[in-house]
Amino acid sequence: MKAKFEEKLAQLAFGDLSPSDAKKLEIEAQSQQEARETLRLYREMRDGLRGMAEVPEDQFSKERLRDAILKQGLKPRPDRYASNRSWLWMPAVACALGFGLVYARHTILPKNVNPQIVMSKKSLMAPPLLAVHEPIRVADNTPSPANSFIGPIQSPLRKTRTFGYRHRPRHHLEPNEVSPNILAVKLDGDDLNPDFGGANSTIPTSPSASDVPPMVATAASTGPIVFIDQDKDEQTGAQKATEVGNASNVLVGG
Amino acid sequence: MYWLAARLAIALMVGTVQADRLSPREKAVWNQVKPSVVTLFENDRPCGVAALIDDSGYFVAHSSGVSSAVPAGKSFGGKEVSFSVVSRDPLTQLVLLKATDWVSGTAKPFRIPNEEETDGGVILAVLPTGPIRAAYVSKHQPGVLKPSRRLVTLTEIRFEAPTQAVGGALILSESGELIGTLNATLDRPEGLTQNQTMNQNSLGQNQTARGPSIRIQNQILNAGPGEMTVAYAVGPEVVQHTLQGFLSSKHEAEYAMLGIFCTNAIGGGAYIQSVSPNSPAQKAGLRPGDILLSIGYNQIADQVAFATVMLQQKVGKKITLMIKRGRGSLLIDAVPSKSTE
Repeated sequence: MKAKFEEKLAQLAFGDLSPSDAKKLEIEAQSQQEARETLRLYREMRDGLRGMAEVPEDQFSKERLRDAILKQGLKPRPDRYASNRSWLWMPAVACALGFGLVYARHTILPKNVNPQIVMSKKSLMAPPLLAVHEPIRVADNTPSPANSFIGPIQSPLRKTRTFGYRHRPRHHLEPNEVSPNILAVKLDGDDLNPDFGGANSTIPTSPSASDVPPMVATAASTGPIVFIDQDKDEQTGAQKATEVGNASNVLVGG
Repeated sequence: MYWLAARLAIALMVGTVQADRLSPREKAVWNQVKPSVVTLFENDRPCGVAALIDDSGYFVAHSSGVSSAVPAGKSFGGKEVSFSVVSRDPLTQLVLLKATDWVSGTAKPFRIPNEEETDGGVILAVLPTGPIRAAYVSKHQPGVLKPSRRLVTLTEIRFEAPTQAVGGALILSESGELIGTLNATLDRPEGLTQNQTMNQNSLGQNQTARGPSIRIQNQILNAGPGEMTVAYAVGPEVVQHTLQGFLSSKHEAEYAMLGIFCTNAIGGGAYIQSVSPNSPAQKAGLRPGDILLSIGYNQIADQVAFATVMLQQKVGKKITLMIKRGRGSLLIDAVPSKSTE
């Protein structure tokens, strides 16, 4: 179809032709399938345009002016430099995600740590060795590489876990459940594992927090220690006592 | 006989002189407990003192004063007493004696003080010749007794050294209660007097003292009327445990033992250096290299804590040990036996 003919069809549809030209073009368009279809589309377009609400010319301009002043005009101007620096949020978000991932990994770890004895200043200053000691809080917070494989010992009835399963989410074990996180298995005799020999030896079992009394700490000695020998002092007739500065390397029997 | 009478007269005279140095309150306490104290003799020579602990005639004394099986003694009131040895405790070196022909009600038995003694107070050390005043320094001094290497708390006392032997002296509180017996005196290095040893100890406790302050401190300590002796007695808790065992039907003190020797473990716990053969620890499966983490519900921070907890255990009563072996931890049941040393 020629463009000029299509333009005349558009004029016909929108009523821009004279009645004689319109009648002639109408007859001509009806004889052609493509022209008839094009005229129908233009007339549908015309009907759609006429269906739109008519806005008075003056009102239309005022609405646009008010909208421009009250809404568009009061909006903050976009910083033209901001768009240039918009890439900065990406590494920040990446860092935050990385930190969150690391933190989440640590929080789901089994807290297999060395227990920390919380003692009062007084007990640290003067540790009574044979006195009855108060129950202590056992804090299990930071894993220690040196003893990371030790199970939590705030209660001897806890099952022992290892760091080899650090990606597993922590869950509570049923009393009879055997966890894959348990390093050692229950031992019935020497033949099971020579490293954990002894018919008397078992791993910590049966977690029941309500039945387990709190762990009691005994004060450690960091001060001087006195050795009392069998030999007698010739002058005093008593056994000889010698003092060493630190008890840490002293061999003690019991 | 004449020689014995002369010795006794000299001892009583020295004792009278020593007693005169006491304050009126200390003299009153001494006069109150004097009937319950007996001087032991060996070869007609005073060698120790014994304290009445039961009205039926049971006395306790330090082993240094009891060498024969039937020791003899004389009370401060002049009455002769003969004894038989009932039991000996190798840990505390205490000996239980039974006085023959003892009449009940003759004297009031001693008792172990229950209340906490105040450090720095005045106590009495009763020698074969009588009481002397001593300073009560501390009862929290840890000490290792050889050869068993059992760790106990010691009562540290200091006093002006008398000319005669002080080993085995009875240690009485200010109110006349029996704290223990004098087990040992601090050994002094060759060439040093006891007073100089004292100065060294004082400086060891205060390492910040340097230069002129050291000289001033030496001058102060050297200005005293006589040499000071630093002595130790087994702590009252252990003594009380021993006396309870002595007064039981078995007449012997029992201390629980596993048969292991430990040092401090890096990172906490008691590192087992060796396990005695045929000991409860060996029967339970403990091995050298294991780290003891807890006994029952008592957490073991180091070897001192281990020894402290073991002193509280009972012979024949099963205990659960938590140990670390290699990369794992496990629980082991063990039954402590009676300590023989």
